[in-house]
Amino acid sequence: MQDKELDGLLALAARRAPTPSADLMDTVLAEALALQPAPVALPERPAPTRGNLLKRLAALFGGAPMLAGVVSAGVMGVVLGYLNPATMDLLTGGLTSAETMDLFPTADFLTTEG
Amino acid sequence: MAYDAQDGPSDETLMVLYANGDRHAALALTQRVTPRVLAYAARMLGGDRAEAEDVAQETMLRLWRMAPDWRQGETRVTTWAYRVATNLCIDRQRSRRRKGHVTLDDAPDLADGGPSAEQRLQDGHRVEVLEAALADLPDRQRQAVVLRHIEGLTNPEIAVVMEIGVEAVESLTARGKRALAAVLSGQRGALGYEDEGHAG
Repeated sequence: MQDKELDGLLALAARRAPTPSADLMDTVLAEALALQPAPVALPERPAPTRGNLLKRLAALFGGAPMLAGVVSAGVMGVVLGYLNPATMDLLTGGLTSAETMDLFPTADFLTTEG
Repeated sequence: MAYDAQDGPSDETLMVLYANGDRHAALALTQRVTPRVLAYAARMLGGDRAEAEDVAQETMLRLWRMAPDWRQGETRVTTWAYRVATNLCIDRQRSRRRKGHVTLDDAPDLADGGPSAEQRLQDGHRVEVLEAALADLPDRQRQAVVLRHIEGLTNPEIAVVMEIGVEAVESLTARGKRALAAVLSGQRGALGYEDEGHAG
């Protein structure tokens, strides 16, 4: 047999490949689905929100009322520290009789050379 | 998303998708790989369709089982499937030989001349004769010839399937073709080449 004839015969065989039956394809697919690992679901993780942050912060201080008290005290401290003591008399109606005193009456020595 | 039986993601990508639970990947791999394994097994088993279907089903079953451990880049899916099918076919051939050798005598009988001779020499019959002749080759030569000249694999791919070197593949293919030509030389009448020669 000549090479050309044999090559033609092999090429013919390649073109006439047996096709699988529907039963075989169904069986293979059924086994594939039966053995397929289950899809991996990623655990849901809710995005952090402003509300959650406030709740966590309130819990840190023992609840929302406690947090409100701490915040109020903080704000009041800032206000009192900012105001001129003379102004305090206006706020308190003279009950505290605030006085001004100079803690360093002769502080010039700090800046004097010599 | 459904995948095309031929285009779309590679077989290797489909394996990963399958292992991750993608049902469309299971369908696409079934449609792509099963026909190739069946065709290969049929040629390796001398055209025995029932046994070839068993081999194809078993090969695909092993493919599904190993999918979770599939490592991309190590080998191609079809190469892996051909290798598994080869081993299964060899097991079945050994089992057959213990029961009785299959030879060219098992090829379909031919009518001598007559009005139906032309039909009998159709392409389908030629392929049957070729498959019977392939069955007479030594196992390794038959594997190399089928993979190279019918399944269309490259020599490096065949080397992976057969777990031998490329040079050994070339040698097996060449010797296999020579042996096949020798076997088929006595079958020229059955193949219709003598008639064509006389006609020409």
